[in-house]
Amino acid sequence: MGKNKKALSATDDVEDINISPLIDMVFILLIFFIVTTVFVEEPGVDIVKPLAYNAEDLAKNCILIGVTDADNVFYGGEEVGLAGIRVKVRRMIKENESYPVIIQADQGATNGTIARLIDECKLAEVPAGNIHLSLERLRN
Amino acid sequence: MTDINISPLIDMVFILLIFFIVTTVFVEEKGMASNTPDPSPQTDPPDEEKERLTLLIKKNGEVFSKIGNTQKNIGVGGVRAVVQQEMQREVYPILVNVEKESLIATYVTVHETCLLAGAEGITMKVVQGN
Repeated sequence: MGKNKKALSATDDVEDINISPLIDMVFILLIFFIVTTVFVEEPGVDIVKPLAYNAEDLAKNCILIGVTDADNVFYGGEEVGLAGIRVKVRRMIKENESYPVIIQADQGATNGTIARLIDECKLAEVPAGNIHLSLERLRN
Repeated sequence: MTDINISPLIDMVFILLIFFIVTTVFVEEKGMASNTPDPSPQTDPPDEEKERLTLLIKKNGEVFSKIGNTQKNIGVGGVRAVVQQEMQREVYPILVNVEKESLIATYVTVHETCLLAGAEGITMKVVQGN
């Protein structure tokens, strides 16, 4: 009994839990998220991308434009249409010239819309080699 | 002698952490470069290019090959053989004419098949359907 009492009073003497490993971990997480964060506006629509075997990896910092199977053009979660996309792209390109444009087109989107979208991007002064089409990679 | 109170620091770090967790989007896009002719005045191609192979994707998904004045319905499956045969003679960029209403999925398949068959650059051009 006396021994037990002594053990109890010993735990009372412990002042605080050591939280420095917790803080270390939080710092590591913080640095991870700071490093991986890219501020990209997603089109915010459901898109079934065309399938391909040879799809290259594209840049992470980019301008994403979505085209649905009904040929509606989305940017940053709202429908802007073919007419409105040039202004949006030009604004982004002004901030950073090297931003590539990635078009997320649905399998059912028509080539006419995609071609007009690419022309609009060219008119917004995106270099021709910086326009890409997003694909779903198939494994073979 | 007491320790410096670090709890405000930790609070701030937590707030930053939560901000970055919430704003992070993991963008991992895979794709291909898309190429269209520049919107410049149309000129007739030089004579040596007139005998070159061009492809045509119809709105119903049919694929035609065209060399000179001969046009053939080859379908998506026939693209590889035709392009490969041409590329063995001479490697040159291929022009893929597409009708406005044809689907992007068909173009992507044709584009990829041309690359596999050894073509150097593939350009998509919209043409009027008849």
